[in-house]
Amino acid sequence: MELQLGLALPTLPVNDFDLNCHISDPTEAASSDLCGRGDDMISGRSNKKRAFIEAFELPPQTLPLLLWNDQPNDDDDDDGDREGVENSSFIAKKNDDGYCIVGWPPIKFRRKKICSDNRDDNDQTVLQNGSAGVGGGVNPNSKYVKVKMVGVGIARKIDLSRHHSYQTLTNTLINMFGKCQQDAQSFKLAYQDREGDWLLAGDVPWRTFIQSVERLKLLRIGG
Amino acid sequence: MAYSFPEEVLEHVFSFIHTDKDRNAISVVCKSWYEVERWSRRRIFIGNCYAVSPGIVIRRFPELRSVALKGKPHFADFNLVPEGWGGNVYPWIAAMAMAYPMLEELRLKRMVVTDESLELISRSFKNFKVLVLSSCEGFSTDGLAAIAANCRNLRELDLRESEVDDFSGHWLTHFPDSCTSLVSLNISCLASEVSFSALERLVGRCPSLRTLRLNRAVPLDRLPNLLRRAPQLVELGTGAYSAEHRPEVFSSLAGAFANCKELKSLSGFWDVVPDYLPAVYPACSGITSLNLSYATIQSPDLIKLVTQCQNLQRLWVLDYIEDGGLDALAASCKDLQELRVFPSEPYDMEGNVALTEQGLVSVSEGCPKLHSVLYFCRQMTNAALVSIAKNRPNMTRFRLCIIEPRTRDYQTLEPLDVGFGAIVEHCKELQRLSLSGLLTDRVFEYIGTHAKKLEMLSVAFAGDGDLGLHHVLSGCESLRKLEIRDCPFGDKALLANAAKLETMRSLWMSSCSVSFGACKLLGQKMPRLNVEVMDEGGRPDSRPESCSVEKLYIYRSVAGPRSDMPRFVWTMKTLS
Repeated sequence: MELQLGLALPTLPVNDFDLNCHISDPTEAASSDLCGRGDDMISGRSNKKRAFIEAFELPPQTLPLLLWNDQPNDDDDDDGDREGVENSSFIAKKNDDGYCIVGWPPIKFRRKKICSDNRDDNDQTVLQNGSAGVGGGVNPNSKYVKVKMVGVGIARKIDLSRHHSYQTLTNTLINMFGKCQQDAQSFKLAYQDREGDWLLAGDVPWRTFIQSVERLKLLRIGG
Repeated sequence: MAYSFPEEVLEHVFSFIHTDKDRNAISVVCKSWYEVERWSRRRIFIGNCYAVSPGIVIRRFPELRSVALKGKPHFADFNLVPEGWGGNVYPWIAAMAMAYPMLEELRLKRMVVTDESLELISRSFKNFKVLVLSSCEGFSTDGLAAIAANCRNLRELDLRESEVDDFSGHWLTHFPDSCTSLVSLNISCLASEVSFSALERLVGRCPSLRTLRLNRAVPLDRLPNLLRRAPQLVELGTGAYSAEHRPEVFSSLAGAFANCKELKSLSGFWDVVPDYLPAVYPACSGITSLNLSYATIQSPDLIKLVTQCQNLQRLWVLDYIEDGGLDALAASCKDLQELRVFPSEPYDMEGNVALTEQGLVSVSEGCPKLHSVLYFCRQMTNAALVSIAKNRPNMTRFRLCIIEPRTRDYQTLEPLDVGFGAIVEHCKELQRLSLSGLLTDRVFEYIGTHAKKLEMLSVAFAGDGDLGLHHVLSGCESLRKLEIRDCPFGDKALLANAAKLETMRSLWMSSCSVSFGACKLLGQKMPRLNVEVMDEGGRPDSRPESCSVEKLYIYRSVAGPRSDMPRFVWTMKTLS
């Protein structure tokens, strides 16, 4: 409390320090409703309002906050909230594309590295074992990309260097996910290019595709 | 008081008092206790290397033998602290080399340790015994060679999760033949192959070796030989746990494990081949700590191993264990105290395994001693959290990471406020909490109201506004460390609780709504706080003061602003 005194700006009138204008900010109320609060939550909110004031005890000494209210501060808060919302949509979009948020989920660098090492090793082993007559060594021209099928939890990896047409690639993928060839017609293949855009495979020549593909996804047609 | 004990008597009495808290309490009783205490203090823990200067420590405690120092903020573990931030231990080593020739122990965490520092350590402290480098970086195997060659009485060399520039495994040969004092050797973080013959000889000639944690480059067929040389091992970290199927490798491994009667802790298991796991079964009844967090094997194999370890107290495992495996754990390991479940595919939002909230509920029901949890999962409900809280009121550390930010209770679509609220309400001794999922300001009200013993809180993607942060800062009396990312917390809550910050070790806020102006005000008005703004995009004072800062790190310090700030860190004292 003593230290709070240090922040005092006694020249400003006390009643300008009104935290309620922050809490009852209409835009914030609106955003709260968006969070799906029920009636009980709203009453809880008014409780909080009291708690906030009580906790501050609103001594004139805590005036420094006033300074911040006095500035175009409510606008700042709006900015802050808007920023939060923008961030969240930004994040969601990134996740769909398979990118990650820096530092999230909170996993140590070392673990991350070893996890991905394991994954790559395992995938490569599986693929090498599965391809007869290649001799088991790692092909320096290999190009592994991750493949997902909509509705299947576990993603796979595939070496694109072993394929030379959309047809053999699609057939292999259909088999890999345990679907029979008759089902092949109900799937279409999408790919993500280096810019991060998702495109339908087959629209560009195979060679162009091979050069730009970063990951693959099998989508079910009409659903 | 008119009389006092002679100093010698006080000193003798004090020598039985070891915990930092008690020693600190003693030192504030009176001037003479302060004096006796400071001259007799042998160990010190410094939670932030910038909170005090080496000079101040040396002036107050002239006879230290053991120093533990921490550097970077905890969020550095997750890449949130830019490269080159600081935390170099060299100034400390240089000062201590002069002041403490009898220093025996150094335990460093998240610090930059150069080879130069390691060489200085190896030459300066004649009776140096313990070097623990936890999540440190900046050094190479050359620096380790200096430690091996010069520290003749070394008992412990523990590199934990450090990032080492790994030039070669040859450094191990620098341990002289006269070195027989090792009690603990942890090289699990190294990448390159160590010299096996040097390793085998070293292990063989250190009769007190209790802990040996190998790196991934040590192949499985080398393990039996190492174990035979050190049957007294208590803690073992294997190397790669894979080999082509050869019956003789299996039988020699099983024989070696059966011979290790003291074994209590197992880790490693890189690249594990499940066929070889039964080789450890003979040792399992004694195992209390099992780290399978690098073992990429499926649930049935994990279940077989874990259920062999009926006395297990600590389990770290990948989510491959699934709910079924956690059910089995709950049924067979009644002494379990700590559970960590890590994600096998952390960047896969959809999930690849059948691990849900139910697994954790089962363990909370079945394991009455469980008090520490780190759990990564993809779905959660308030009901599950309420069950966990009611089942385990003895919980002291609860860290839940629902991988997708802002995930709701998937059954009710509500935020998870009530669930985390139950955790803080029922678990009265809770010291550490990490939040995730969709959370409103309400959860922070619960935390501020109930979490009176909470010391460390991690928050991400949560809250509605200042109120949330205000509840935490004004309510959590024991809070020492608070780390926040991507939350709409701003100036008001921070400034209103400025005094609280002086009672805490540190506050981290990144991608929040704290303005540069507020940081400046804090820095000016709170002389004991170092307020550091990190912005890799350029000078924060070149933008309007109302702009939010990118990253903010506030900590108390008696040393004033630090002098080693990189170009992207600004302290609010020098700017103003």
